[in-house]
Amino acid sequence: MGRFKHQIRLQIPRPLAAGWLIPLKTVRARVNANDVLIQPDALQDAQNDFNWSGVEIKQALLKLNDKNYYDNKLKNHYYDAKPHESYPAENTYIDYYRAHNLLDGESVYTHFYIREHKTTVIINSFKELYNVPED
Amino acid sequence: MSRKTKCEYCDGSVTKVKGILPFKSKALGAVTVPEIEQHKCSKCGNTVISLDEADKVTEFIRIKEQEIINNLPACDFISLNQAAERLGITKQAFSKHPRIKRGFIYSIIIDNKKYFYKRSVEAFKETKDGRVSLSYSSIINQIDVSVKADQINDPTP
Repeated sequence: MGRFKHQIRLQIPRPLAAGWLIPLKTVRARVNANDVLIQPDALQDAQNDFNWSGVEIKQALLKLNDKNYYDNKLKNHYYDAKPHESYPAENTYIDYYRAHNLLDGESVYTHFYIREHKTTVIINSFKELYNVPED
Repeated sequence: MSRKTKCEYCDGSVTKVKGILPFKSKALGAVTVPEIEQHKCSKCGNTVISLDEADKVTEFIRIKEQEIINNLPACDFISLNQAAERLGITKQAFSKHPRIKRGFIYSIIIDNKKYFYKRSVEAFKETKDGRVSLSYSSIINQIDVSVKADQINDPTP
């Protein structure tokens, strides 16, 4: 079954994050099923910024929430979604998250996607989020 | 035998291969990690790995780092109390610090006691990251600097 049927359009108005989002329920299920791939650059950043391995990356993904980042920059994580430029013919979107104090006091910026008609979560980026918002 | 899929960035095909993975570590610099299963594009070389393989990579890096740390001169290490004092925190706060627990300050264990690398403690104090470079040239430079400093302080010829 394709990912399309799982997609929901968010009703909340947001400055940047207008578009599609893979429900985190789906992402968590794939993470728990160990169906996750990561790009070496993203792993390098996770290792160099946090000293994290795959185990901690998994834990961090499981702790993400899909509430709009702009509603509460300290507590909410979902930041944006953009169509994947490499797959123009597909309904594949990259979801962006900015999560403050996500795990072990670390703030994480990450983006990942699941290709249409596929199940694997592919993490493109996973690095430290430096700018702490004021509110 | 592996299943072919289309690459994310080009029209090449992605296959599962086992081989070396180039990795840039903060402490070690450029490292090649052997025997890593990768999903690699035959055309552009774009690679992704599973989180299990990611664990293997980080474990390899950790072991290599520890090998070098274990060979550093013992006089460059300080006790937990001294390290906590240098950071201006209590030893309890030092032990519980999540970053220190995660290895942001290099340490060795001698007789069941943990000792911390001085240079790493100083770097942690400055930047909250004590993982200084463990590359050969960096360590040699450091030794050279400390020897020269000792010679300057020592009045005897």
